[in-house]
Amino acid sequence: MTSDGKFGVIGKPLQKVDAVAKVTGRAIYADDMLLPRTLHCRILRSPHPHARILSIDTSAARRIPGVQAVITGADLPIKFGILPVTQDERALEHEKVRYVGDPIAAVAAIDEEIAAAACDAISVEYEVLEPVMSIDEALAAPKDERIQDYGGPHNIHKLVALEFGDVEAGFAQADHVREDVFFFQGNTHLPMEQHSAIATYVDGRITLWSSTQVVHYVHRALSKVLELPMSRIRVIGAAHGGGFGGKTDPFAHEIIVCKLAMLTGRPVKCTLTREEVFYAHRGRHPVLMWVRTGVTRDGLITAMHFRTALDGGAYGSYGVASTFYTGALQTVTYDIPAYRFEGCRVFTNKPPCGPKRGHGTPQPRFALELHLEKIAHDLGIDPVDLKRRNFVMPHTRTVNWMRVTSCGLEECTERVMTASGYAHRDKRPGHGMGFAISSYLSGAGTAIYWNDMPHSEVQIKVDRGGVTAYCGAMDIGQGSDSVLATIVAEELGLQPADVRLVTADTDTTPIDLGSYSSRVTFMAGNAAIEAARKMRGMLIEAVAAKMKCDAAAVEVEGSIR
Amino acid sequence: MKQEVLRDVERVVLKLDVNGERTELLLPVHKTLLEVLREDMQLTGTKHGCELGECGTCTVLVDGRPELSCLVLPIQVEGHAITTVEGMADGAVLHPLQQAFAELGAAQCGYCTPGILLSAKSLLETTPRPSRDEIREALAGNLCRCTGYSKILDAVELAAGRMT
Repeated sequence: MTSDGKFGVIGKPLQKVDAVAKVTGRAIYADDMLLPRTLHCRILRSPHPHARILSIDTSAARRIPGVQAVITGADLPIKFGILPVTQDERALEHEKVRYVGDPIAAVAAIDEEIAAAACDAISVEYEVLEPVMSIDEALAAPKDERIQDYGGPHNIHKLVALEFGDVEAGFAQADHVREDVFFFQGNTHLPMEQHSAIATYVDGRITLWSSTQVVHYVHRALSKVLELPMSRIRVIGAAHGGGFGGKTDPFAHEIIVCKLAMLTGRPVKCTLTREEVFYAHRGRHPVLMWVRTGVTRDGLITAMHFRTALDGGAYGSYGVASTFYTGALQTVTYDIPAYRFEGCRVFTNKPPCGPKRGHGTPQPRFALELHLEKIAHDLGIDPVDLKRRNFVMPHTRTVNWMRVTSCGLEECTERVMTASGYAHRDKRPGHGMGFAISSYLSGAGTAIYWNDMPHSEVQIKVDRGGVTAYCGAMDIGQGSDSVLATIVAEELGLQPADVRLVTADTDTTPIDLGSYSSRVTFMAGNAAIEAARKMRGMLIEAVAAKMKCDAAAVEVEGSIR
Repeated sequence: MKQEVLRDVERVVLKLDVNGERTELLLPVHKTLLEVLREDMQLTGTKHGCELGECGTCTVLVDGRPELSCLVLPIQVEGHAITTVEGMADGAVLHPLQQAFAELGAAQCGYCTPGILLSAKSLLETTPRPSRDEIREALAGNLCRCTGYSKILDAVELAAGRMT
């Protein structure tokens, strides 16, 4: 910031720091990397949605010329998962498969076609089990056996029940009570870049380059499954071709290439096919929802009871958090004085669902907004009027203890009504127009695993070579590298291009908990401000001492020439 | 030795003209142009998104017209001029489309960007001042998941304005 209190670079439409690399094809994504002697990995996946593995015979695959290593679940038996409470995945499964696409064996060969041929040569003997393919089936007693050995009863993964305020009294006060059932179909992220990872093992150390959203979580998972200390593993985020939540979990192929690199002593690379990206999934949960709301004859909400059932697929992933989110935010846009929520996530024999852009929120929002439209219709009130009568007010606390600070919902609605011509919508044949609002928690105030350490750290080095900022944050295309460079530049009176960046490298950068929940600008950005202000203070002191003047007389601005 | 792999793969010598450079390569006939560009010529600016002709990520120009390199065999394009994203800039000077994409933030994760730049380049060569709808039509085969397309359309318009 300059001496007159104006920002020098923040708020200016500056080019992103990696813009030229991106428009010239010179950004190096994981699949663009090919190190000398790289072996190529293919993964054998389950053709069955639910089956016990009776035997795996890899002998024919091992005999194929060009095959360097074949591994199965016996080589990687330790379970992992993104949440500490759901460590339920294996990089390769040797006991039981739970969805079509569950990884069973992996091959490293001198080219990808030989690796694929070797996968075809692996014979697996299955005992096929009855698959569980819907929420209804998952809630009933299993015909054969449960998908997972935790949770329950039946194929229930997680049950959540929360109640705030006097719900029964609220319904008793209501002039009108309505119930509705809604279903929201699942969907997937579809990043343009397929997941890709390449690993080396040199001098007893693993180095993995991956298209991940969180190098730190991959680092932790590798350490656990490979039984290596974190100091002997380095995870580097390659240029990233899009995540949207789908590359937040640590994945089987990331662990597999490390193991194969350890066994062969050569670099090993695995790029998922587009089909395999759909198996990796972690997409939006399909959710079945039931909602019951009481209102006065003026349309004021007196109580709400909301139930969700999430189709989680075969593994836990972030599902516990998604389940919580399907119930947490109904109260944040509308003043609901009494609220009961019951959520249930089930396991089914499908690719696992997980975090996708505001996970757990769009599904109940769709249900709630339509439900209120129907209530408005029942009461003969315009639906937008009914919703506005229930808007939360600024500087309040919701019944479930969410703090609302500034809130321009009413003003925003007024402007949208005017600009959209909403009042005249019926007079435009062939055009549909509806009104819906939403809210979300961003910033991820709670770490995935409980710890008292910083969520993000930034280190700044200043020497004769210029200014370098180090941070574990991963630029997945959202521009976090540009955010860091701009903040540091602002505080030190520089231009973003003057700041050298080292990011998303577990060997050289301090930990950041990753690119999700719109947390990077908030967490890493604040760390950058704090570090840069300390550096600024040290520079001012040093300059004042050298020039034998008062520190208050030193101004910081300009750029490095 | 395991490394001595004998495989019955038919190979063919091809002369490819890529970005104005003629290269002679010995290639398995079944390898796609996408694979040859990325793996045999180290032109990794051309990305693969689906290898099924669905997403447009692997778009290159053949005699100035957009083609999906994942669906083309090199033998089909021998003797034709192939352009990849690496061939767009004039040395260190960016093509006006590249400049506009960089200035307006039309490249986010950047993975679809090379294909979109080449589709746009082809459009501007035949239609120097395209309408918004003509740009949309020309880029309809190129998917992007980050930008929401607005910045991309703006950038093509900006470049078109600067080039005419």
